[in-house]
Amino acid sequence: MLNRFKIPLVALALLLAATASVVLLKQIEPTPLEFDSSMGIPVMSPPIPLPEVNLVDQHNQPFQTSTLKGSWNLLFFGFTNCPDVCPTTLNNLKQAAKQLSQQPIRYIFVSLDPNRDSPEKLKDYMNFFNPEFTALTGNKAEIDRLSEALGVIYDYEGDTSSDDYSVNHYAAILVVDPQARLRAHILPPHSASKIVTGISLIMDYYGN
Amino acid sequence: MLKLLTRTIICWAITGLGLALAEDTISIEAAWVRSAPPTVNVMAGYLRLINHSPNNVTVNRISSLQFERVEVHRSVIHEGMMHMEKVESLTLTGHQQLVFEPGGYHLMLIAPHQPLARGANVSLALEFDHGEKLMIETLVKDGPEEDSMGQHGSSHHQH
Repeated sequence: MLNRFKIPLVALALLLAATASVVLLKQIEPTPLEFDSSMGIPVMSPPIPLPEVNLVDQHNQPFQTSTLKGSWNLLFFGFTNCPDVCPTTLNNLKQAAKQLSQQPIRYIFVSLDPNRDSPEKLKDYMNFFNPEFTALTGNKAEIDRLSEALGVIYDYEGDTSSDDYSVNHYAAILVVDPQARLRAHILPPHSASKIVTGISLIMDYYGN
Repeated sequence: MLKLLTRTIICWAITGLGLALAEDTISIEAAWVRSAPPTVNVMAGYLRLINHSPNNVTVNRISSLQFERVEVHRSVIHEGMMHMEKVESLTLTGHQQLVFEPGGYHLMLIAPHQPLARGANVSLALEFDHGEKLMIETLVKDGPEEDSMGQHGSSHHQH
């Protein structure tokens, strides 16, 4: 008797398998969230996993990429000898953090100038903006592995053997999800309100 | 005698007119210095530079009592990448207003003689190619908004 229903049963099984795949895929990676292009918040879909790197924070404690797991993270790459863009961005992140105080977000500054930015220097620097923010430095090769994965290009300008050189760098704020994957860039100019809007919508949409 | 007197009067008139024109050639408004951690070697200054004359005016030199040297730089952001370009020569065309603001033109205030906290005074001197020198007093602040006293950086002229 089953022979009569062989084809319909196979068709039904295939249909169920297809439906299950779609449902499963939607749970793993939903339809991409898209902001209006004028906002300057490109979203990565699928998100990009970060390599495991070993850095050190402003308290001289080891920091691995896996530490980014468990909460959403806002990362910004810069250097403490930067007079304009870095203090402006950190100030905006500080203002954004006040508005987002109910959200478990980690704020992280990564130095692209480990030669001059020691943990002690970063500690004084971050204390000025928000001592609860994390500042990272370390071996340049490790910083480069992380910056490359995040699309953060940079170069040095001037005499790097002196104390008087500058760092040209990608100035977007990177949004990293609770699985330590790059989810979005918040392009400059990034006011506190743009940061708050961007991360809030991304967190609402993608959850944990 | 009359000819000499006429010529003298004409010369005085021209000089007077020249001085009068030079008097209000440049003005500076809304000057402020961004507050920064006490350990930094550079701070950023911002302002609005206004050329009231129809002629080109070049900034010869900017200096400060509180810093070893002052340079003009411009942050240029292209496709998200920030470059900082040193501006070797700054010329304002006739009636041009140039705004120094975060993410754009800024004064790079290098090597403070001592840490400058919020509320500290910073003196700046700007010298121009037509001989005018402007002295300006600014405050170290978190942002461009007015302080509670409603004061902006004030300037006065020297010749």
